[in-house]
Amino acid sequence: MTKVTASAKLATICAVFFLAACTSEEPVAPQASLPPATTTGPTGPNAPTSTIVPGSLQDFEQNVGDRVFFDYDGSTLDQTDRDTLGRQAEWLARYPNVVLTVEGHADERGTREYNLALGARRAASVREYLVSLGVSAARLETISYGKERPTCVESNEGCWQTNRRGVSTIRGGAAS
Amino acid sequence: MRKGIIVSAALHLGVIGAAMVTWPSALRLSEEAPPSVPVELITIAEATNIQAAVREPPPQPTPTPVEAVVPTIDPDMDIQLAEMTPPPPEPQPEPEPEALPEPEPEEVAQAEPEPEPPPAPTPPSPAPREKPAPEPEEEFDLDSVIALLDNRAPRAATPQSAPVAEAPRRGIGDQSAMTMNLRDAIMSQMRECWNFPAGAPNAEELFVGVTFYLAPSGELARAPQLTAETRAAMAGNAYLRAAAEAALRAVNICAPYRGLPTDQYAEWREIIVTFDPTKMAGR
Amino acid sequence: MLLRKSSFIRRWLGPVAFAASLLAAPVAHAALEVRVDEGVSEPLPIAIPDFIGINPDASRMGADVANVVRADLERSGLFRPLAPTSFIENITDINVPPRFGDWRIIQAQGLVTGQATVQPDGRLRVDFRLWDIFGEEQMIGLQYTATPENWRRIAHLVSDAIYQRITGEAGYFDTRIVFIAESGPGLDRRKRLAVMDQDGANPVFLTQGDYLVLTPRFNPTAQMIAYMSYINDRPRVYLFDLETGRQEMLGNFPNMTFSPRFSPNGNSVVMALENNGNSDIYIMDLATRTSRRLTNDPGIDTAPSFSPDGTQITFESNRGGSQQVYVMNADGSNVRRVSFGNGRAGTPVWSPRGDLIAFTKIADGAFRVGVIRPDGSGERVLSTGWQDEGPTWAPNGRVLMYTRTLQTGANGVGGGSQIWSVDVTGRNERRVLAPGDASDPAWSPLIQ
Repeated sequence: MTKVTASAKLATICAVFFLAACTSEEPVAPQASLPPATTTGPTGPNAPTSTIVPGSLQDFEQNVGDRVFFDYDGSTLDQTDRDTLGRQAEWLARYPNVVLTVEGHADERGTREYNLALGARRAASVREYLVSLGVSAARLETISYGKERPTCVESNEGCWQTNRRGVSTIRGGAAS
Repeated sequence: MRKGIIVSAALHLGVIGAAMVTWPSALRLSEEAPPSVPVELITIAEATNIQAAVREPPPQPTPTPVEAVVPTIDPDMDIQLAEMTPPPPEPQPEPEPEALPEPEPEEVAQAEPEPEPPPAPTPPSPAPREKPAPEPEEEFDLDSVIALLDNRAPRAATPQSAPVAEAPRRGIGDQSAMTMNLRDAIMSQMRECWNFPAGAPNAEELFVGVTFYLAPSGELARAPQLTAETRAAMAGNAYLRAAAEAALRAVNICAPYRGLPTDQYAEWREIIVTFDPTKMAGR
Repeated sequence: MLLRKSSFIRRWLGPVAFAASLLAAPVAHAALEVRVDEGVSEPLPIAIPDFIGINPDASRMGADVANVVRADLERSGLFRPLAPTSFIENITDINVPPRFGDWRIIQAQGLVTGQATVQPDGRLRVDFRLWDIFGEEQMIGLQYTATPENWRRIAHLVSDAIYQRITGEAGYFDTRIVFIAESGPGLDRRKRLAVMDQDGANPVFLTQGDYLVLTPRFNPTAQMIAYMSYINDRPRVYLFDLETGRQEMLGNFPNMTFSPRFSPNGNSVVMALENNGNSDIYIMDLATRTSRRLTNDPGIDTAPSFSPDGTQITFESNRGGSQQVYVMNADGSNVRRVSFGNGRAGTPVWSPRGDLIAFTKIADGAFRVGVIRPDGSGERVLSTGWQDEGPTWAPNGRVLMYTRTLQTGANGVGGGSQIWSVDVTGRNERRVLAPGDASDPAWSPLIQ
C-alpha cells in the first residue's frame, strides 16, 4: 500500500488547469468496444501516423491505451491490464509533467454505494500498479464514479464489461 | 465530448480559482470554508481519529456555491389542531319513531329453537331519520389548541344494557358432527368477511374474540361484542384495537348468516368467534 | 336503534360496567365457538364525500382537500375510497350524524365528513369526522387551522389521522421525500438534488445539475439533508440546510466520503470513507466535527444505517467474500452477519419500528428490495423489478420506497430510473409520481 504523499501536485494544480484548457479536445472515438480488446497501441512513442502529437492526450489515449477492464465485482488486474498500465508507465516516464486522475467505474449491476466503493478499489488498484512501475504517487489522483458514468448504457454483458473500467485521465501536463 | 467537459470544467475551476484570488471578498463563502491554509495532504491510512478542522484540502475553489434555493419545508407552518366532540347522536326535538333506547329485540333471545320459520327476517331497518334539527353550532375555538375534550362525557346515561352474557363454555368432548357442521358454515362465510389488518408489528399476536347473537333469520340480533378478554387486552394497544374493530366489521358485514338449520337454532343463537391471525400474519 | 345502542354500550361503558353486566344470569344454551383463521386482505371501503363549504371558495377548497385525502388513502393500499357517484346521502352538515344506513347500503365501512372554512382572518380551517358505519358513532373528529397555502398539508394530516385511527399505526402522509431527479441521456445523465411531498406534489430542485449528487438523506427534523456531491470533482458528503439553502462539506477528508446517514438523534452522521481504495465506516459528531472509525477491515464496508434506538448500526460489507448485510454495535463492536440467503445483500436500512431491516437482495439476475429481521431470520422479498435497490422506510415502518432502474435495450432504448413504493407486506407495489426520472429516495420523518 502506497501512502499518498502527494503535496507537490498541489503546486501544479492551477497551472494544470490552464494547460489542460489549451489542449485540443478531440472527441475520442469511443474506443471501448470490448474490454481487453487489444488496445495494442504501438508501444513506441511516435509509431503512429499523422497528426497525433507525441505526448498529447490523443497520443496517450490512442497509442498507449487509457483504460483497463475488470471482472464483475473484481478489482484485480490481468495480464492485458498490466500491459496497458506498463505502457502508461513508460509514457508517463517520458512526459514527466503529466499528472493523472485514475477513475474507477462500475457497471450498473451493483448497488450505488457498493459500486462507489468498488470503483475506488479499482482506481486504487490501477494507481498502485503504476506506482509499482515507478510512477510517482504524487502524479496520480483517484476518483470513483461508481456506476454513475457509464460509457455504454445497454443492459447487457457487453456493455457492462466496458463499463467496469479504470481510466487514466490526464489532468494536466500533456502536450497540445 | 467527455474530455471536453472535463477540460471545460477544469478551465472554469481555474477561472473561479483566479477569481477568488482576485476578488476574495466578492464571493461570500460560508463559514465552513476555511481560510486557505496551505496544508499538505495527509494520508489517513493509520488515522483512526480524524479531526475535522485541521486538514485542509488542496486550495481548490472551496465548495459552497450556495444555490439560490427556496427552502421548502416551512418549519413554522403553525397548523392548529383541535379535537371535535361527536355531535349529539340524535336530533332531540322529535320524540319520533326511534326515540331513545330502541326497544331491544331481546325477545329474539327467547325465541324457541323450534323450526318455526321466522316470519319476518328482522331487517336492520335504519330507522327513518328526521332531517336533522338545526344544530346548536358547536363552538370551535379556532386558533387555540383545545385540550382533548373528553369524548365520553357527552353521552347520556346508558340505557339498560342488554345483558350479553358470556355463555358457559362447552367441553371439548361435546363436539358433535352437528356443531362441526355449524362451525364450518360460519367459518366459510366469515372467511370472506374478515379483512385481516396485515402489516401490523407482531400481527400474529392480535387474537380477537367476538360474541354475537343471531336471529333465526341469520341476521344479527344485536350488535356484536368483543369478549372481555379482548377488551382488556385492547387497552393501550392501538394495533389490537384496530384488529378488534376489523373483527367487529367482519361480523357485521357477514350478516345475514346463511345455511344455518333453523331446527338447530339453539345451537347457533349465540356464537363466539375467535379471530386467529397466526396464519394470516404469515405475511 | 339496536346497533347503535349496543355499540354505544361497547364504546362508552367502561370495562367495569361491562364486567358488571356480565354477571347477569347466563343464558340457557351454550355458545357456538368458532375459530376463524383465514380471511382476506383487502382495502377498506371508505366514503369520503367532498368536504363542504359555505361559499364557493370554501367548497372548492373542501373538494381539493377531500381529493388529496382520497388519493392518500387509496395509495396506501389499505383503503378503497368509494366513488362519490354512489353516495346516497348528501352531507350538508357535518355536525349532525350521518344516516348510517345510507352508507351501509353502498357498503362503506367508514365515512369521513368534513368542512372547509375560510375564516375572517384568512386562515383555512378544516373540520372532519370519521364515522364507524356499523357502530354508528364518531371514531375521531379533528379540526385543523392553517394558512391556505398549506391546504395540502392539512389534507395529509387528515389522512394521517384517519389512517392512524383505523389501522392503529401512525400515518405517513404529511411527509416529504428527498431524492435525485434525473434527466438527460444515459451517457450524460444530469442529477439534481430535489425534494417533494410523499405524493409527488410540490417538487423543488435544490441543485441545478452541474455536478453529480447522490444518496440524500433527511435528518430527524427534516430540516437538513446529508448527501454526496461531486462538486469540484471531489466526491464528499455534504449537508444541505433547507432553511438557509446553505451547503456545507462535512469534514475535510482527504478522500471520498459517501453513503451518509444521520443518527436517530440527529447529532451525528455515519458514513463511509475511502482510503487507498478501501472503504470503512466512520461516524462524525456534528457539534464537535470529530470523527471516529467504526470498522477496520480490508473489505468494503459501506451503507451504514442506525437502529432507531441508536444502539446498533447495520451496514454492508464484502469481508466474507461477497456483499452481505451486517450488524454491529454503535461503537463498532460485535460485528455479526445477518444476511445468509443466496446471492448478495446490500443497502440495509433499519426500520423506524426497529423490527426489520430492509435491504437490496441481488440474486438470480435480479435486484429486489427485501426485509429481514435484525437477527437474520424471516427474509422476505417485497419488490418485483429487474433492478430495485436502495430502500427507504416511511416513518411508521409500514411502507418502503426504492429506486427502480429499468432495463436499457439496444441503442439505449428504454432505461431510466423511477421511484417505487411497496407495503411491508409485499402488497401494493406502485410507482411514485416524481417529476421525470428519479432515484435514491429517502423518506422524511413525520414533519413536526
